[in-house]
Amino acid sequence: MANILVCDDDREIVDAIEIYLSQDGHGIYKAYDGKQAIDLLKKEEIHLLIMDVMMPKLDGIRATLKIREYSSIPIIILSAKSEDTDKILGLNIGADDYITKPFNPLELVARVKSNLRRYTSLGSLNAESKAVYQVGGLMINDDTKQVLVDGEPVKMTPIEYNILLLLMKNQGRVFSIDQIYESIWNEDAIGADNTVAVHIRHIREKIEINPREPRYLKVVWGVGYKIDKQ
Amino acid sequence: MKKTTLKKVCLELLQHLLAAGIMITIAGLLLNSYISVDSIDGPKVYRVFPINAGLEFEESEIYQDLFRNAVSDITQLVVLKGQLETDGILDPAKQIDVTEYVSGIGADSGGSLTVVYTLDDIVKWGKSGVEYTDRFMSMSEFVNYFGYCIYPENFKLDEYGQLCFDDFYHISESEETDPEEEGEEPGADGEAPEGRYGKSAEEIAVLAGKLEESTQEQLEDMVFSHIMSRNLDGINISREDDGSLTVSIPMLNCRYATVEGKKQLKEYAQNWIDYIQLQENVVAAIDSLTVNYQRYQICNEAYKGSKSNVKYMVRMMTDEGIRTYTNVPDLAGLQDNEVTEFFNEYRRYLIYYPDSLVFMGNTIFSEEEMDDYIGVYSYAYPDTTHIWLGVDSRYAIEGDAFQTANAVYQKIVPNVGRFIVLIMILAFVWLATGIYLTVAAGMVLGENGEQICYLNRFDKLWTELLFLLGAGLAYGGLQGARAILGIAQTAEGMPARLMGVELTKLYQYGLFALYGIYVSACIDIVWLSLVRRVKAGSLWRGSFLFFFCRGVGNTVRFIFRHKNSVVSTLLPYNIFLFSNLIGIAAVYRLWNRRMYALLILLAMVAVDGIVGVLLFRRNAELAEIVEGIGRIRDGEEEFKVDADSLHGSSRELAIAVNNIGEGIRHAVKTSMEDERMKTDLITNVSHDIKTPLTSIISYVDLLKRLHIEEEPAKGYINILDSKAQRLKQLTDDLMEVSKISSGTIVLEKEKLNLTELLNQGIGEFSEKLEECGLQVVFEEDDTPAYIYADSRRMWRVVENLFNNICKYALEGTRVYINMAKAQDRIEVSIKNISRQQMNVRPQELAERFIRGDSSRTTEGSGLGLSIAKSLVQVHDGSFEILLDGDLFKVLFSFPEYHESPAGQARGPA
Repeated sequence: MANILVCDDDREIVDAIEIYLSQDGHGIYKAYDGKQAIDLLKKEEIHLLIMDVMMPKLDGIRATLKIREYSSIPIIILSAKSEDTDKILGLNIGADDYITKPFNPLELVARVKSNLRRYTSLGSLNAESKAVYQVGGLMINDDTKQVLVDGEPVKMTPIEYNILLLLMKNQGRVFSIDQIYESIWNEDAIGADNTVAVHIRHIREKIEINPREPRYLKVVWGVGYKIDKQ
Repeated sequence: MKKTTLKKVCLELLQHLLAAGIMITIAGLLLNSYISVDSIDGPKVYRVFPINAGLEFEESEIYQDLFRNAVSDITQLVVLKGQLETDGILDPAKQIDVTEYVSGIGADSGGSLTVVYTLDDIVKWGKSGVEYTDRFMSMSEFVNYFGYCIYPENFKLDEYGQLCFDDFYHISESEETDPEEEGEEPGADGEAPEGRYGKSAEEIAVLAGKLEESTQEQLEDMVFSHIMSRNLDGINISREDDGSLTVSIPMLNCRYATVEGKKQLKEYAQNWIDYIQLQENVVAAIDSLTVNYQRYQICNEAYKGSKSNVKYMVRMMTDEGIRTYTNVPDLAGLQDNEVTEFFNEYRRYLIYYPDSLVFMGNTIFSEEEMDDYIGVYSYAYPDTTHIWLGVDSRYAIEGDAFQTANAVYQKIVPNVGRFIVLIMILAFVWLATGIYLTVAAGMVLGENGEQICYLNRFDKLWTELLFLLGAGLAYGGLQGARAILGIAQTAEGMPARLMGVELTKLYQYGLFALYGIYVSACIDIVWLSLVRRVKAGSLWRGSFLFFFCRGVGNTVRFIFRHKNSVVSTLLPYNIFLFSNLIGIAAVYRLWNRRMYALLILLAMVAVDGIVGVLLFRRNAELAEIVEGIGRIRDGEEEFKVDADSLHGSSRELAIAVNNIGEGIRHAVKTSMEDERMKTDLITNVSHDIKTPLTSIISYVDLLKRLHIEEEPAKGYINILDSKAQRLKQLTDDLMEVSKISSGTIVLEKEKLNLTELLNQGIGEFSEKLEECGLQVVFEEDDTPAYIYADSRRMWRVVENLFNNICKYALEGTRVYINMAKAQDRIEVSIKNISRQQMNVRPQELAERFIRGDSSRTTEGSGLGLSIAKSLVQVHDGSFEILLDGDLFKVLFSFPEYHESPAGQARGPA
């Protein structure tokens, strides 16, 4: 399917990732530091790069910066650094995703898949009508009442759909539980309690790879929910 | 220590009691050592102690004094007896020849006239008192009172041939007096009696002629001068308004008639000289006899044979034969040597024959003394007097002075010794106690049995004060001693008085005892304090002098230590002051020369101005430095005082302050770096753990994918899986905890709605809670509860609490969440029923690595509640866990956030 370069100074991790990804039929290239990775990128046709941050010779951040000078392939950073600042740094210098160690293998596989799909197919998905809203790999088509995540359709209940639509239409705006309830149910929010929260949770489980660390539907704790522009 | 103190107090009390005892004994000695004796002259008081203690009564001074009195009394008595008695008994009808009596006792005023009264009359006269009547008369009346006397015979010529009065030789119609008698005196003068009254007829003729030449007045004057030249008492002359002279003369009121029946004395006299002399003799006799009579009454009564232990006998040869006076009637008829024998038997006796120089006796009485006594009455004691005197030592007769004195003496003297011994014993014990207390003073047994010097508050007062107090107490003691001695001295006779209050015997003892206690207590206070001070070595160190000296020493040392300051401040200041004074003086002196004065004044203003500016600059710089110190203190470690702009010592100070600031800065930096390093270390360790953990988790997952069904292997893989997951959780929590506890956590606070947060939380956990069969009941008053907090951390709190509930709540029960506002705080309580019995204390649950089941087998790090609590606390909230049986209750609260008015904040529209 695709050629994936895995770069980590820990060989066992690289091997494990190879096992997981090769099961999906991907071609795996292995590198053990940033320099090797860059060399390999130049030599081979690589579709996705999974890279550790802390590596000898050239670390993941610098390598990413260098790669971004000439390539736009998806880069997933895989790091033991779990601080927010680390994640923000990684994403800001051009990485497409950030997975913290120790990771759930299934999540890794899912993210790889998602990133590949976006890279390979999303570029062609142009907005055909005004009723289509897109954020990253998440697209909602109000004409067809269809929700696509990385190109794959997702089944939703009408309420879940309406909530997602509301948030997609108003990207970047935070909605409180009461506001969501009032606009979806069209009645006063008295006693709305946690119904909305439960629905949001369900939506996240359907559209997010890891609902605890959502990429699209974000929880602003104590305030409400939002979907950020990308 | 307490026991020792008690012991000391008891000993001191004992000592004071002893002192009281000593003083009471002394009082007993002093107050009872008096012998009061009735003597002729009234009661007499003798003191036994301390003079005569130990002597026999007969050798004591008391005895001697009594004996002396007896001798004196008896010599007198014998005289009186002679005067007043006839044949041994008082004879009221005894005829007393006044002039003879008076000349006998040596009190006569001269004159040859005499009158005779009975004794009875004289004594009665004396008792009722002698009275006079003043007679006033003119000169001529006076001169011729006893008859006309201006006869030539009565005059003579003196050596200058002047006429003068000679004597009363011829007086007309006066009493028939014997001219012979009258003439005796001039005869005795040695003038040859020629013619009448020793004057020849020619002489008388001459005198008569002279008399003719003189006036009556002149002649009367001469007579008067003659009377006055005899120095007679009582005659007074006063000049009347018309120039005439009046004579006043006191004349005796004759109460009783003489034996001859004549009542008036003037009937016996022919002239004033005789009359007045007679009158004086009569009065003297009356006075003397009255006194003697009374004396005789007392004496005779006191020394009666049946009333006195004193025995006497006086025998004398007089013109009227042998007279014997005695109070032992049996002796009267005996011969001298028999009498002597009789008296020899007395233990104390005295025999004296002045004529034969016999003086015998065994008393301390000397012959000279005896002569002195008898000499007083020498007129009554002829040389042939024999005196015997003795005291019956058996004191057979009760009630007299000797017997009384002896009785009391015998009672007192043996006891004096006992009293003294008692006093000595008591004094010895007192002293012993005092010595013990002195040795033990100020020493206290310490905790380990060692001796410790201990000073009480009194001992810490200045030593001088102690001395002053001592002096005051000593003065009081002296005054007290004086009062006490006064009491002791006046104990007998008159009642003792102290400050006007009469004292009974009991009070006197009480005062003595009080004085004893006072003295003892004073000694204790002052002496023991002194001893304690000496022991503690604080006699000198605790004195004002030391304090003073040290103060002076410190001042001198201070000045020496700050020599630089003296040079830089004190000296210039004084010079400045001095120069200013000189300047002022100079200006004053040179006021006339305006130019110089102005110049000096200008110079002074300039110098003062410069000094003022310098002082101002110095203070201003100091203020700057102080401000800098304040800023550094308030946490502005980067602040530096600009040392280059300062001068002199201020600059040094500024540099020092800057250095201190630098030090603080460095210390703060180091401490912050340390803190960061700690967190960094934990973070790095976490990263280093995570990398191999990634491999573990991955390969365990791969193992699981192999679908190994062999039983032990499958179980092992599951265990590996769960432990790997737990390790992952643990590393995450560990980092969180380290960040919170090191304070490096950065909070991104914003306004958030706690109701919303809890609802979101319930929503997030809805499935998990359903799995556990838990039903959440959220009770809120439907108003937004805004707090100001980091939303992600708050979620962490809620997440941890819900995780906790999912893990430990009993299936099928309800979870109650309650939220309420109270006093600007938002309080949340979460209650659930625990699945397992809680065997830990609620406080421990919020501690790190503690879990309710204490076995640590289930999933989780054990840090959940601890992290929740810490996070709440860094948001100024409170967090509390309560356990009531199986009811598990978490209470937490936050300050309410006020920015927008409540009710309006339903979120953005």
